[in-house]
Amino acid sequence: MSNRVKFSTLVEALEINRDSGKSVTYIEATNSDTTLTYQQLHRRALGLLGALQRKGISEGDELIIFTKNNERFVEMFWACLLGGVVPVPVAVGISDEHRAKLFRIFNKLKKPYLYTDQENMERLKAYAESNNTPVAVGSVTLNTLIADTIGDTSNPGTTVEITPDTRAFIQFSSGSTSEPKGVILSHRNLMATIGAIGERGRYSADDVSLSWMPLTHDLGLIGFHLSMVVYNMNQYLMSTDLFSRRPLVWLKKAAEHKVSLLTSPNFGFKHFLKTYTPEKLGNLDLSSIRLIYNGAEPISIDLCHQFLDTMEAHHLRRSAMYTVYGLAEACLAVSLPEPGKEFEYVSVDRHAVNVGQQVTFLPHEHPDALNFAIEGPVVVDCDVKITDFDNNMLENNHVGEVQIKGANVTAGYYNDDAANATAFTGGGWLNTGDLGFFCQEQLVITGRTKDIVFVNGQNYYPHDIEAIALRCGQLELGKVVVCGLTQDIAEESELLVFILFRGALSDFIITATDVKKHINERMCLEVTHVIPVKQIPKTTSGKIQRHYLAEQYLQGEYQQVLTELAEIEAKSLCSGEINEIAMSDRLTGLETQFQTIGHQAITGKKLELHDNLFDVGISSLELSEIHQQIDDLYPDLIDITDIFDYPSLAKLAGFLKDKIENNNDSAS
Amino acid sequence: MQVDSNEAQVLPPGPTDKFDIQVSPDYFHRINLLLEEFGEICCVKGLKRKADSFLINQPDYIKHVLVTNSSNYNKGVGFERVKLLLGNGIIVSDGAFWRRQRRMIQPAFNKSHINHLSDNMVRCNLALCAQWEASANSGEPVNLSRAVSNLSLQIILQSLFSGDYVSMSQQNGACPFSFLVDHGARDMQVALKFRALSNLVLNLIKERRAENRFPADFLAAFMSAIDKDSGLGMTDQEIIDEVMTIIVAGYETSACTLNWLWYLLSKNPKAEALLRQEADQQLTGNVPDFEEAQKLHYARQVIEETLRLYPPVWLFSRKTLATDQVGAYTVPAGTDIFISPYYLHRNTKYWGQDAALFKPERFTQEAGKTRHRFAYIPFSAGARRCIGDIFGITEMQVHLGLMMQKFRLRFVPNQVVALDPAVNLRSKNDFFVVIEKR
Repeated sequence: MSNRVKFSTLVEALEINRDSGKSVTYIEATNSDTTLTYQQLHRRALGLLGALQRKGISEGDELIIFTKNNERFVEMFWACLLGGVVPVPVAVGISDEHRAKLFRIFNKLKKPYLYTDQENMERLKAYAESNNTPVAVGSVTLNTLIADTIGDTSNPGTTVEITPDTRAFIQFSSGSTSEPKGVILSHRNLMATIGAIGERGRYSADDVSLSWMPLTHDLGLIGFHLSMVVYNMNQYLMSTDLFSRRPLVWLKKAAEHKVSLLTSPNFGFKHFLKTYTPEKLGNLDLSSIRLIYNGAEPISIDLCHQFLDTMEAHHLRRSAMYTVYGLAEACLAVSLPEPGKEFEYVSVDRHAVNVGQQVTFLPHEHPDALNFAIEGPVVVDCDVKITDFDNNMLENNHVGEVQIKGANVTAGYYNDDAANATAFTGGGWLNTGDLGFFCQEQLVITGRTKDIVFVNGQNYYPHDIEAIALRCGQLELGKVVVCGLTQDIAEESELLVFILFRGALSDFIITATDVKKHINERMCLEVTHVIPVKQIPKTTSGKIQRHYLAEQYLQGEYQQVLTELAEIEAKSLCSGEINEIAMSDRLTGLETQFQTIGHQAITGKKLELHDNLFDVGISSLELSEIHQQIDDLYPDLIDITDIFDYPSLAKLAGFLKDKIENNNDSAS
Repeated sequence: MQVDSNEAQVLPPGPTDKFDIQVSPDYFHRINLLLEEFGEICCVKGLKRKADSFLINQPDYIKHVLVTNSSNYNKGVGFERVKLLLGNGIIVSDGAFWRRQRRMIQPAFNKSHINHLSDNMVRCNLALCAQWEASANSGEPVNLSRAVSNLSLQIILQSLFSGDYVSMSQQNGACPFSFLVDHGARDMQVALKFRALSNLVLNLIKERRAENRFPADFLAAFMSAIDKDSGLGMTDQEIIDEVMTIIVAGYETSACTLNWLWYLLSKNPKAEALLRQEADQQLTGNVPDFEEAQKLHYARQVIEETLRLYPPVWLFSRKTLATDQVGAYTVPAGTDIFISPYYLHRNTKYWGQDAALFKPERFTQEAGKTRHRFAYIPFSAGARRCIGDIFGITEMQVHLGLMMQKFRLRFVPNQVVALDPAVNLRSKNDFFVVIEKR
């Protein structure tokens, strides 16, 4: 039986498979599934196309799809494909960063239309008005279709002829905060990648898939929606929000519907395990699962093991963990392992992973061992070469830049000569920006070129340093981010460690010292700064935006907190632990303590000892927090209303000192 | 209640993330997520706070905390902030002191006393009528939120100080309390200003005492209250604290409710028509007094339904004194308990699938019988139930009875309607209406 596909375009696939009775089910909440057959999907998409065409949208026009609602997304996406309109999926997200990105994309496209929901439109308008966006709100509004009021969809639109070379859609990179790059994908690219995945993964119409990945991500859209239509499977699309709120629903649904294909990036496994307890899943049977695609971000070997070990109780096959590599520029897949065997990994010496250098294999348990998942042989119709920075081919087991070429590889970035010039290295090869090496015909990805930390003449990978930092305890995956800051590839990096931390700076000192010491002992690396941050910036698909943090650092964003840390450190070196300040110096002790409490309670402002609390603009919430902390340490001595009579930290400290001394006197 | 030490302590489920629930907008959505995920009860580990927090959203549990075993629960997190404004008035105080104060104040809030005070309610509403007639003639949109805020404040101040309020305003050139309406932010500057006003109140207390003058208002009632056990009255500071408490508690809660009530009516023309019909039939063109206002049953239902959907106090807390047992769970001593009337009132389990819809018929006497009594707690419950419930409802009945006979309010289109879940559940933006005479 051949698993190759027989269609030449996505539209052909839907048109032929629509009579199969197979369906897509949208899971928006625990108890709300909506199932639509491919027939219904096709009919609704045609109806939507009719509405689009009546608005004057025609073949070749671009339409941004900006909705979190999977059902709306899918139907509009297919409406576009049927009518030759070019859909441009953009992640909705929750922050202004995402809205800014939408406007940047809007600017970059020719004269795009926008399809969104009422709610998002309000947010966009509000954002545009308050941020002086380069696009006038008016022009966005003018070309916008609101899903809630799309109008009549009862008259089907007119389909146009779609060839393999028709532009299918434009995938904008999910990551960067800088200029977004649009990857143009044709039906030929997509059919090539889907065919290659299906062949390697031995897809059949009996497979059933389930995914919570956003449809704006290639793994969600191509890997877990379009491929399923092509292979004529029943598929389940779960909302990303639902997964993040209730991760357990993911596998509950998988068991319920006897799903065989799943996916999750690294952080998803972690997120799942955080809420998991054996009782919560009971005797759930996961034996139907063949493959769980694990890609889209660096793969933690430990986490894979932990997940498989934990799920053994639910009969999950160990061979299900499917460590894969791909990127939007290749539609999706570059290399996939042979299915049906347990995932494999290699251990190499972390001090010898420079580009151009041959790796040294070590036993898994060696202290210098750096573990990488093996992502399998390159898929059919795609070529990969590993090169040094001068574009010279490297041999097996040598780390270098991963370049790709083939039917699945994009013809270029949308309207972006600069990006095209950098990415394409000649002869049709595209530089992925990823680093890796070949090991017995299988690809191993080690990191990203731009993330390399270059210290002491060696290359290190941030996720490796992060993993080491995690081992000093208390810290959690995803809450520690390592960045190497290099102006030039040949220059030494500053090594920065950012840690998600919301407590008192005085408590952070201990963490910072531990992390520095630990990384130094384990890796012989000198950390420049350990910086507390209130938030770890991530992309919509959950990738950490290292460079955003680095940029903030360069812009002096952390100067103040570093200065404060240095001051506290100096102070505690002189006076020992803050809590053990000598009684003879009680007032200074109390003042220091109060100031620490003040820092802890107030974000974004610095509270001086003699500041009048009513003048500095702190809120009553913050004030009651300060009071609470003081009351925890010195119960029932200060009433919150005393603050009216002693309105600064210094005065409160003086007042408390008198009270303590009076109490001592009367006690003795 | 002592828990047998051999018995295993069972804590409710909860998220792995640690955080400190506060009565602040940041937690409004987060609480919803917690309730969605964990249902009736969950335990949130403290981040900065030492104690864990329990979020409870089940009528029997709520009954246990507020009524059955209420002596084991003090006022909790967040009340410290209120204390900044109110001193140790009956909202904030606990234990024996609270019990004494409550006993002394209670008579001022009895029906017969409110009956006397309803003249103030009518007078303030008539003043508003005059303003609205002018607005109706000009056709200019009116800031409804400001108007009902101001109305509530006037009513409470006149009920406290009667005629002295007028002289107080004259001395100051304007109403010394009006900054409460003018400045939405409830912050330190407001606390400071508010506290400064206690001198005005103190002067008034002294003046009245010197003149031996006791008009029929709250202040006089507080000044003449005597504790039966000790035979003593309140100290001046205690009176001031209670006066400040009445102002804050009585003003913003009613203002919020009226604001949301008009908004809901604008969305529900049928309810508005019924309300108008009732006012026409019961009042036949008259200005309602206390007795007549009581006859406006449908108005009461509308008010209660508004309080269900938009309870001004959307979240409040208690602190556990000794280790206790709630349902199957252990509540360790020191635990902060959080109860959200807002989410309880919208729970489909107790209110049906249409819980989110505005349906005043839920509050007919008949319908009320089948409902769990503790599924509706806009005024809290038990000994610490709001002392001003009748005052507040009467005030709103008078307002509706009068205004329904005279005006129609048309909401200006395309206004952003959003919640501002601060201490009270306000609307994020003021609402604007065009006023039409009938």
